[in-house]
Amino acid sequence: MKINVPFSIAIAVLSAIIALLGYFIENSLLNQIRSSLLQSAIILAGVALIIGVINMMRVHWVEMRGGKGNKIYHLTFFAGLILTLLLGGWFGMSNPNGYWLYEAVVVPVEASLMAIMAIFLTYLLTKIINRRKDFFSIVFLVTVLVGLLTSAPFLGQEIPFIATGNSIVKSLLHLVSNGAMRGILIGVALGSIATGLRVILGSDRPYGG
Amino acid sequence: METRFCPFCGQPNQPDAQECEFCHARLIPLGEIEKGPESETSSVVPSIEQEPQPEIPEWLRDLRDLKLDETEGEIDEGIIEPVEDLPEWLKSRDDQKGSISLESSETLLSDSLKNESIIGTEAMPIESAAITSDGHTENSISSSSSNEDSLPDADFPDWLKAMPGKEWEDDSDKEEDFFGGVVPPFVDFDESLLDIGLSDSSIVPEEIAGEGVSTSTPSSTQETGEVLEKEIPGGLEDLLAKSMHLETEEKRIEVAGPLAGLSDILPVEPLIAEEKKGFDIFSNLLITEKQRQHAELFEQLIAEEGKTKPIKSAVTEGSSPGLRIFIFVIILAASIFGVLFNPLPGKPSEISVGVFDAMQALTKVSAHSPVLLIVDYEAGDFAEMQTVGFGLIDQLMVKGAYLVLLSTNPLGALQGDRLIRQINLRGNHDYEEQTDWVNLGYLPGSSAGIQQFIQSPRITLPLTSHNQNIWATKEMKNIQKIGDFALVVVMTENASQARTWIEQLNGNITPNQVVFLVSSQIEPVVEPYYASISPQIGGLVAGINGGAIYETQAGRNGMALLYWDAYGLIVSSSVFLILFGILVNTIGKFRQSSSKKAEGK
Repeated sequence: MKINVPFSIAIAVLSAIIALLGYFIENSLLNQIRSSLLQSAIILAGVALIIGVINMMRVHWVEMRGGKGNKIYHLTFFAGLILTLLLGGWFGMSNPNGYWLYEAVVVPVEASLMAIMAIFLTYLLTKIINRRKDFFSIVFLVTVLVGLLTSAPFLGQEIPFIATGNSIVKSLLHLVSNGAMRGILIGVALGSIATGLRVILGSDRPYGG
Repeated sequence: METRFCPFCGQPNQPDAQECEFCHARLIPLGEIEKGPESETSSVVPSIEQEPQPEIPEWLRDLRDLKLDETEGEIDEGIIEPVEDLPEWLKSRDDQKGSISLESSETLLSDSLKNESIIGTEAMPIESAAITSDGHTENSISSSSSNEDSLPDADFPDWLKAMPGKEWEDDSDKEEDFFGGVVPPFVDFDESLLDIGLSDSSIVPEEIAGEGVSTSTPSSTQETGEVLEKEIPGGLEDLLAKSMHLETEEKRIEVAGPLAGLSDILPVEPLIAEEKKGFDIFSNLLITEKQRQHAELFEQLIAEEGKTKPIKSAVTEGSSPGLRIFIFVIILAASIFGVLFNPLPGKPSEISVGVFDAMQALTKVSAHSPVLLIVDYEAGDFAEMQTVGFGLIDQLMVKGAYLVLLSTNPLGALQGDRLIRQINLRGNHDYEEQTDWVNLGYLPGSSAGIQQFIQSPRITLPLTSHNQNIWATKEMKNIQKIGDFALVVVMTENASQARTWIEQLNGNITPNQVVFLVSSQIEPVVEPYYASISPQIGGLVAGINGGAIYETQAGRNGMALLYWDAYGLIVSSSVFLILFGILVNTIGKFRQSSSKKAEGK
C-alpha cells in the first residue's frame, strides 16, 4: 500500500484534531500539546507581521529604484518607518516622545477619514432618489432616517413612537435587525464548521500543497 | 525500451514480452500487428528471420530451427536427419523417398492443427515450398499433399476429399505443379519473396538453383505472380487464388497465449488499445445551422474583444461641490455649537437593559480586583469608543479595580494607553501605570492567540509592554486562566473581532463576567449573543447613546454626555440635510426635464 500523503497535510490535520479534542477531552497531556501548538501559532503570527513589514520595505525600495510610482510616496513611507522605529524603539511607545507620533499623526488621520465618510454618506443619500428611483432605494432611505432619529432626539425633542425610550419603532427596528443578524450568524457558524471540517479532513488546504 | 503494462490486468511485463506473464493476454494489439511487415510483430505469422519467441510452442520452435539449418546449407543436400518426433506415417514416407525436405518437417504439426489450417484456408495444403527458377516446386522438397499421399484415405473426411483441388491427389504431375509458385503461408501474398529470404541462393537447393533460380529469383510481386501464373495448373489456380485471397484478408494465426497456433482467433483487446486513424467524421463538427451561427457569433465576439472601442462619455450627474461644502459646513457648525454651548435640553431618558446589566456586572468588582480590558479598535474610531467606554471604565477606576489592558490590534496597545490616560484625566483619577493598571500589549495570532490566552494567560503573555512580569504581583498572582479575572471588558468596533471574542470566551468564563462596549454599527451583531435565552455576555453598551445612558444611570458627567448635545445636533442636521438635499435634487431634476421639454417644443 502506497502512502502518498503530503507532510504538510498530515501536520495540519493532526494539529487540528488535537486542538479539537482539547475542547472535548480534559487531558493534561492533550492540553499541553494543544498549548504548545497554539503558542507556536502565536509566534508564527508575530513573525509573519515582521515579514510583512520587511516585504513592504522591499516593495517600496524596488519600486523607487525602478522609477515606478511617485517617489514622494516612497520617501514618505521610509521617513515614517524610520521615525517610528527610532522613536518607538528608543523611547518606547508609552513615552511622550513616542506617544506623540500616535497622537499627532495616526489618530487625526484616521478620525478625519471617518468624518469625511459621514459627510459623503449624507451627500450620497441626497442623490439616491435621483439615481435609482425604485422601491428598495426608498426602503433604504427610510431605514436610514428612522435609524438616525432613533439614535438621538431630534433637536433635543424626542419624537413620539420613534425616539422615546423603548418606542415601537425602535423595538421593531431591533427586532428586524436582530432577526436578520441571527440568520447571518447561524450561516457564519455553519460555514465555519464546514470550513473546519474541510481543513481537518484535508480537502481544504489554505496552507497550500 | 519501456516496461509493457498489460491492458487487462495492468501488471508490468518485460519490454519485449508479447504475452502477459500474469494473465497471458496479448500485450501487442492485433491492430499493431497489422501495421506492416516492418514492425516488430508486423506479420500475421512471424517470419523465418525473426528470433523464435519464448511463447512459441515447442513444435514451432523446432520447425524454425530446422529452417535456420536450412540456411546453413543442409537444404542443399535436400536431406535432413530424420526427426525422432516424426509420426509413423511420416517416417514411412521418409523410408520411401529416402529424404525429406525441410519444409515437410512442418508436418510435425498435429493433425488437428493441420486440419484446422486446411479448413481455415480452404485446404491450403502447403506449409512451405521451394520455388525453382521457372516456378516449379520440387516435390522432393515437400508438401503436405505428398504426406497426405501416405496417409490412409480414412484420415480425410469426405468433404475434404470433395473440395476443389482434390484432383491433384491422383495426378502426380499436377501434384508437382501444385506446389509451384505457392508462397509460404508466413508471408502475405503481396509480400516479395525477397522479404522472406527465399531469394537467397544459400537457402535454395542446388538442384533448384541449378535450374537457374538463385539470386535472379523474381523480386517483385508482379514478376512472381507472372511466374506462378505460368506454372500453376489450371485446376489449382482457383484454389490458390482463394487461399491467397483469404490470406491477404483477415487470416491470422495466434502467436501468443493459450491459443497460440490457432487461426482466425477473434481479438479480445479493447478497441481503444488499437491505434487507428481518426475518422474524418470526427474532424468535422456535426452541428446545426443555428449552432454554427452561435459559434460564429462567439468568434466574432472574441475577435472584437481585442479591439479598442471608443469610450462613450458617461452621463454623470454634477458632483455638486456646493452641496458637499454646504453639508460639511452644517455638520461642522452643529458639532462645534453642540460641544461648546450644550444647547439641547435634557439627558437620555431611555433605559437600556444591556447598560443595566453592565452596571450590575460592575457591582461584583471590588478594589484591586483584576479586570481585563481588551481594546480592539482602530484609531479612527477612538473618539466614539472612548465615549462609549468612558462611563464604565470611570466606574471601574472609582472602584479601584486593577486594569489589565490587552489588544489583538497592533495599535491597540497605544489605544488602550491613550484611553486610560484620557479617562484618568477627565474623571480626575490618579491611576498610575504598573501600580493601578498594566498594559500586556499586542496579542498576535487572532483567534488562536485569543484561545491560548484564555487557556493560559501567564504562558501566552508573560511580560507587559514594558517588559515587566506582572503575574507575581498581589493582584495577579491568583490568575491562572481568564475566568479568574473579576471582569472582562471587550471594547471593539469590529464585528468579526467581537464574534471571535464571544465564541472563544464561551465556556471559559461565566457570561456575567463579560461586558461588551461596542460601536453603534456592530450592535446588531453582538445583540443576538446578549438578548437570548442563554446569553453569552453579561452586559452590552452600544454607541454614544449607550454610553450616555450609562453615564446618566451612573450619575457621572462624562464624555458621552459632553458630546451628547453635539451628537444630537449632528444627527438632526444630517436628517435635515438628507431631506433638504433630496428636495433640492428633485426640484433640479424637474426643472431640467421641464427645460428639455420646452426646448423640444
